[in-house]
Amino acid sequence: MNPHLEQEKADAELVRAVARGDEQAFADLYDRYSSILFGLLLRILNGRAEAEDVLQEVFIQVWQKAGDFNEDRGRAFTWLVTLARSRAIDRLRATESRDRTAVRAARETIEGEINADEEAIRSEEGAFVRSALAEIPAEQKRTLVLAYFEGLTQSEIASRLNEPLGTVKTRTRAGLTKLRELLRSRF
Amino acid sequence: MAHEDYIERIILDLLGELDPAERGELETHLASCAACSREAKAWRNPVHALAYTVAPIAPPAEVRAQLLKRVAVLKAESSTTSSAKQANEISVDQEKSHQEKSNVVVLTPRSAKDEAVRFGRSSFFSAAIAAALVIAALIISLIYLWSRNQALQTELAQTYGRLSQVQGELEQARDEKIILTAAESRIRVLEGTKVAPRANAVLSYDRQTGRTLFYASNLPQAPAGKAYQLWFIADSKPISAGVFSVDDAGRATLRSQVPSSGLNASLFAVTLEPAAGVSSPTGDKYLLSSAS
Repeated sequence: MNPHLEQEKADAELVRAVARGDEQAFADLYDRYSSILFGLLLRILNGRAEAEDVLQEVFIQVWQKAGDFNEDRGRAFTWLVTLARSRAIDRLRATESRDRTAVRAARETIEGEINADEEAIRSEEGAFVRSALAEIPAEQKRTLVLAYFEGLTQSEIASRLNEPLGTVKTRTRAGLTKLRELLRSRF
Repeated sequence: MAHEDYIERIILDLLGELDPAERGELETHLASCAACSREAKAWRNPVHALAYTVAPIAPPAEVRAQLLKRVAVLKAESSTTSSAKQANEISVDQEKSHQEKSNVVVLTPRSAKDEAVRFGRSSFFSAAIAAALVIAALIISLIYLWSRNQALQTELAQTYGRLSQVQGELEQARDEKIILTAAESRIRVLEGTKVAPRANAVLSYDRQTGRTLFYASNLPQAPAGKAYQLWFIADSKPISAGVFSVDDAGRATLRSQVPSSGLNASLFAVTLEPAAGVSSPTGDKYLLSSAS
């Protein structure tokens, strides 16, 4: 069997075992994905303590809602990332005041808004997605990163980049379409 | 709504932009439209594959330990609830089986003595079963209350932790606001040198009060016994603005108070120094502002 498909099946089996109340499967799932989810939470949120807090909330949700996981809707990894990202973005939108936004904006300027693809990538999947992202035009990549990692809405991106909303929407759609084509063989 | 509009909605949903009503409407449509449902799946995996572009960072070991403990408590709570349910079901089954036996007895003639003995045994067993059930229920309740108490204590400790963290963040945010909005506020960008080409930082300080905020990214971990030191350089004279270390992700935040002699600085730098800091720079420069 294709090793990626094999991994996908093994992940789905782990989630099903968690749904049956298997604590060892839960620990295995945590060991397999906590680092990548923690990296994602640190990328989205403001601080380490907050990221640790959200990581715990996400995995408690995994324990309680594993029965809701439906393989037909997507991979186990996709399900985990969806849970983690939604919680992080909710937290960000709930706590981020105007003042903090100003500080974040200052930080982003120096961190580079398209920095996500410049991080050290250790996994094979990371290298694959990173190379796909490198083929997407810079302005499309920028809107994707602002939407995905900063949790900005299309209107907020338009206002941040001082571009018309229609342009931002077109770029997002075009960037994601290209990403989908480039990742088709594996995702 | 046209098929194309639903694709727009699917994408916005994956980015987390739909409100609950819009999500509900989309989910209802996906449940009844096989084509859109396939389309949603085809977008879902590649969009969230973006998460793979972030460098994995191991969370602290205590997060794992706390989680496994919380999960064990949740599991104990849920098994306590199902045990109580099972005990209830057993009692109903026993009652049924007792009734069935009674029915058989009515059809089988017995002497009065046999009936008395049978009744006596039956009463004894019924009482014993009832007592056992009461004891079991008490034990289950105690276990449940104990585990609930443990869980509440853990939650209380976490809530206190969160409260103090939020208070700390609030104070930091106030400080940041004061510095960023001050009339004499200055913001400078520092870039990585040859020894740390990916590093960068932003520095803001109030020239009136000397209050300083500094955020750095992508700095390498300092070796044991070493730390980074921020310098304000005024008239070629370096003034220390504090010593800092970086987290696992290579990020650092420094808040400090710079002496008035440094507030006319035109150049800013970060060097690697002994962990206690030094009075003037000795080590390699890692970050440097452009001259102005």
